[in-house]
Amino acid sequence: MKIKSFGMIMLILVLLMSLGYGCSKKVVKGEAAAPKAEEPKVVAPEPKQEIPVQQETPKAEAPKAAPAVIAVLKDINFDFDKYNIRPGDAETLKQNLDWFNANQGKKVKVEGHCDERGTVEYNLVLGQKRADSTKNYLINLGVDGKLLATVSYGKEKPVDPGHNEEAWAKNRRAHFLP
Amino acid sequence: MTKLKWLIIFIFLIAIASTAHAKVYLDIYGKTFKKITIGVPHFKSESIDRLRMDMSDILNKDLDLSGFFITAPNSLIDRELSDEGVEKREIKFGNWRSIGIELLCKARFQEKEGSIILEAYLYDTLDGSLLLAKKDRAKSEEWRRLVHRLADDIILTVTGEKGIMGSRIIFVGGSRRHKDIYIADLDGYNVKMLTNYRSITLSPSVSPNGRYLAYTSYKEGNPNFFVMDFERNTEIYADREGGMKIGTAWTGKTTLGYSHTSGRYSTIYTLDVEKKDSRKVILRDEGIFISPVFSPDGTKMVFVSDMYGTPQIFMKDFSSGEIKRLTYFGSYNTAPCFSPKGDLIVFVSKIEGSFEICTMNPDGSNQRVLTNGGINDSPHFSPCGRYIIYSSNKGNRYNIYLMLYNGDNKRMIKFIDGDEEQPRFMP
Repeated sequence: MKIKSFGMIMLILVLLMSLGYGCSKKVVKGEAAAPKAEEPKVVAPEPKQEIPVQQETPKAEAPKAAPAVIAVLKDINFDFDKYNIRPGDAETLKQNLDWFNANQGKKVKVEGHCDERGTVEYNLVLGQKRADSTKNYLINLGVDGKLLATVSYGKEKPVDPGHNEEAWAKNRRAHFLP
Repeated sequence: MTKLKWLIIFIFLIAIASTAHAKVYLDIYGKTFKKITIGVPHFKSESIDRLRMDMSDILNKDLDLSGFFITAPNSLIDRELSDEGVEKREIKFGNWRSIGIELLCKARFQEKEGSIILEAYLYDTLDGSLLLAKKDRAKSEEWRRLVHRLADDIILTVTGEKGIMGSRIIFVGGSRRHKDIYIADLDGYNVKMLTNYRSITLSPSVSPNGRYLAYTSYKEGNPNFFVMDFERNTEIYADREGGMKIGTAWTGKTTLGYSHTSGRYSTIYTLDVEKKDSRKVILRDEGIFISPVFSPDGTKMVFVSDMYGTPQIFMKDFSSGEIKRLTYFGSYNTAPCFSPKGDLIVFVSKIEGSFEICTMNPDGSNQRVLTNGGINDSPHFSPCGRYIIYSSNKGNRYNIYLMLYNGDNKRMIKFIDGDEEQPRFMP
């Protein structure tokens, strides 16, 4: 019995490993597509920073990767007055890729939002840039651009009504609406 | 009867004479000026009691809002002073002088067949000279407008330029879920909704001839851009391309500029709303290029771009095609607007965590900060150029403020219960 259960554990471990490997392979695929991203001004500086992060992730991410089948689309956040994708948020977008793989052909609206600071009109355009750079990043990861629509709400629809850095950081976001 | 007619003609002549030889008491374009203390006792009337006070109160508010006067509080005007008549021979100017009043406005009115006839006099208490005599009438329910016209004439007599108290304002009002465009009198009354889409509708601007309204609305889901004809109450232009279409300014009578941002590019267009297929590309490049405004002579366009990493204000000269950067201070300069004479640009700058209303010369020199703290937005000049109207948030809510072009005399104007943003004077 003991030997049998040991064998089962081994089997599960091997399965998990292979799953993890499979997942990291996907990420590598996405990485291969990244050179395309050289063109857009916004995404261009990112790939350089990602490579070291990438090498660490397969081990760290492997156990988390298993429940990815019921993946949800997670929001990403931005720095004040910026619309470039930060390395940590690039990881989130790569995780979101699982959702796109599980929901092939489904259309998604990418909403760009800003915090309450700044002027109304500039924020409306900044939100558009945030939605567009998010869309661009996903396209470079292999998502079909035709499935992604963008819309900006500027600072008109905050998720947190607070007036502090914590609320502002939450409100500077790209949100996905399947 | 003929006697009365002659009297009216006489008063009218005095009014003309006094405006024609307008001695300018206050040169507001000097570096500093001293406000004039003015006394407005309750108006005289035989019939309606309440209106007597309401009318003088509104006049006091208008004169205070104008920024050129210190209005004497009612408590300063005792029984003896307020019981006095309105005509020169009935007034003891020494008494008024003794309480520090330099100009005195007295008025009486009567209500007849649904209209109000107002008779008003403005005296200099120093020598008792009559500066303005005016007779005016309006429908009873429009008595506020009657008072605003009087205020504007007093301002004209004292400063040499007509006041703005009879102006109307358009603005964006509403809650976090719904925003619509409203029109109202500058005093906060006669509020009407111009749009009602149960959606977010914003960034309104009206053509210089007052006929067309341009705005951006989410009424169809995406932020689309529309132009409405007030006269025919129809939509005459719509841009439904994907992306953000926003930021409108007019040049000439019917030409409109706006920006479209989608993907990597921004485009600034102009179009003549009265001509089909007249849309032209003025500027197109990678990044953000928005908020176009045109110099009053139409030779230059000022806009906002992040081409150097942060939002800054630039000027494009149409004849040379040259683009010049105007703002170098700080990391956030947006929302530019020309003064009607083209001698100043008002804009918003981020200074120490706040967003302040500033002015500068059209070459970017002589920058001045006019507000102090909070999030201030959407500054626009009055058609006369003496005032700047803007929205300001110092806590939870956006409110509309009016101030002189040099930042003096900030006054909040309340229109509706809710946020009030993006105010502009009606042409």
